[in-house]
Amino acid sequence: MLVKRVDAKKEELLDPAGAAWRKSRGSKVVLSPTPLDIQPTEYVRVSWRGRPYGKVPSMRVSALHNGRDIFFRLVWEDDSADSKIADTNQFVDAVAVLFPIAADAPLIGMGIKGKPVNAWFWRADWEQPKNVAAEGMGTTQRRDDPALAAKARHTRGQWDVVISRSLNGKRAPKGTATLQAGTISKIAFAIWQGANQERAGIKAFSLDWQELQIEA
Amino acid sequence: MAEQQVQRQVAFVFDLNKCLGCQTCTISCKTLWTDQPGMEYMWWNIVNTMPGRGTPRDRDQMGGGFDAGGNARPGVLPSAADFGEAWEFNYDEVFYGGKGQSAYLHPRRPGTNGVAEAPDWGPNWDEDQGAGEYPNSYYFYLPTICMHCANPACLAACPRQAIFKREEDGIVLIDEERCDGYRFCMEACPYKRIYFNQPRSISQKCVACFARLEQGVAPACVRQCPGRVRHFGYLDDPESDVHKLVEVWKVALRLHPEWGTKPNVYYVPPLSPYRFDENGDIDEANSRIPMEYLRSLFGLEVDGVLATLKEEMAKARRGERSELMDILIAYRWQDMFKPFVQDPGELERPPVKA
Repeated sequence: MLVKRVDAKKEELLDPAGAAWRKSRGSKVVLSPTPLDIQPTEYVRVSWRGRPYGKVPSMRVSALHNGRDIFFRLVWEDDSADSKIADTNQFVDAVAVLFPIAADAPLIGMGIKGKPVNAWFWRADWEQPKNVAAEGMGTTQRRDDPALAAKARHTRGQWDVVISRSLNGKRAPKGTATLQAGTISKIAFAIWQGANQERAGIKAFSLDWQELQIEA
Repeated sequence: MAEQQVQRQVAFVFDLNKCLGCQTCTISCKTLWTDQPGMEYMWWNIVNTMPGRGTPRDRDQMGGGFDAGGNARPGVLPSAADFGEAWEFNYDEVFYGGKGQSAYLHPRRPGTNGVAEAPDWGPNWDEDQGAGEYPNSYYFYLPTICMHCANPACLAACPRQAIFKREEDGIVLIDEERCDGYRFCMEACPYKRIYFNQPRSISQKCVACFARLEQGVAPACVRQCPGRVRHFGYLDDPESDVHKLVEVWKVALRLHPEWGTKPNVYYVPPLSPYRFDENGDIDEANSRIPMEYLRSLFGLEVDGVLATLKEEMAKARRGERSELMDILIAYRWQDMFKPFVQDPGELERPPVKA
């Protein structure tokens, strides 16, 4: 996946309807349900056995940067926009992009001890995405990060979300992946369908890391 | 999932023969712990009429806990309507709208599409309905709180290890910093004593008034009970009522022991008057509350427990001493929750923030 460099302002790039995105069709990313057997507790495995989840088959991803910030536009089909937890048994739609912090961190299981991963987690009921650091399932640490931003819309049965963060220098803050222009890194994706009560490890994800080339 | 090992375990014993259903316990908990935004509908302590649907509605059919082989059982995630939402009342109309003579106070619940409607359920909706036909109708009150289980299904279900059982007293707590609001715990708890705080997006439940315990003060629901229903203390303390009732006299039983979570809330099961037969005569072979029903709640041991209670009552009636009756009568209020007898009013209080 190539992140092209464009000359555009953050406000324009953060807008999924912004002109900068018109030229990029993006690439299709195939998604699959996470394996049930690796869910961290017996209860989660038992209660989801035979119950379909992770049904979003694919998403379209485009990526741009302007030298200062990097932007991912994520588009997927979802008939119902679940953007508010209005009841105790309701969940919301969400999407995450994931990066390795340690170059060889495993994707399945979201890293392991000593090999952390970093996600930007957008939830439909939040103003701002959160930064997530993890060293294995059940270890995620969420925090607010002023460097993260997102804008979303739900039209014609599709979520259309742009999520962004500032590109960083050589020293990324703890719990964040290094993303610099002119480098090659890795990226992965996950989607939760709120209407199906999907949360935590119950989600659709891209089976493997994809190469992420950030244009100089 | 193995039982959680702790150094000591506190336990509650609720005497169902004395519970009046006054909900003083419920209100003491409400005012102390659940008066913040997002907690309006929460009743960490609730007293329900049995037989009844419980809180949340039909909780006994919601699954969770463990099967006979110790495997996790799937559970249902209750809706706010199942718990019973906090109602709004038309105070403005009645008190300030000039309609004091024509309008009356009525509750409204948040209905579909944002239009308020008359409630058709609430946390104690079927109060005093019970079951059976006159003259053999019957009911009793059943208070429930978090059971602080030895084998907590909530703790086992949480994918984030956000729930823990304290070493020093076996209290089960949710770490609000770690909780991400996934609510697997709410599904897994077979007693359905966990609530979801929507604005904070975290799960919350009875904390056994741990901050009071640390000061030697009994939980609010225990100390406030006007009916002297609630005994509290360390299970391994030979001086405690809970030890005597659970371990020595063995008259306190777990609710739905078959759910496998090993609760640390125990109940002295309810006795009831004899039935009337079809001729209107007293049928000494059958009590009003059917034994089958009590066995379905407390297991097969309930027969023996009721027999013990009757024997000891007869002893007391004959003027003989019965240690069990002395404990259950609770002549000395503070004996019910030794050693947590500190009067909270006598504690030094932190300065109130301006």
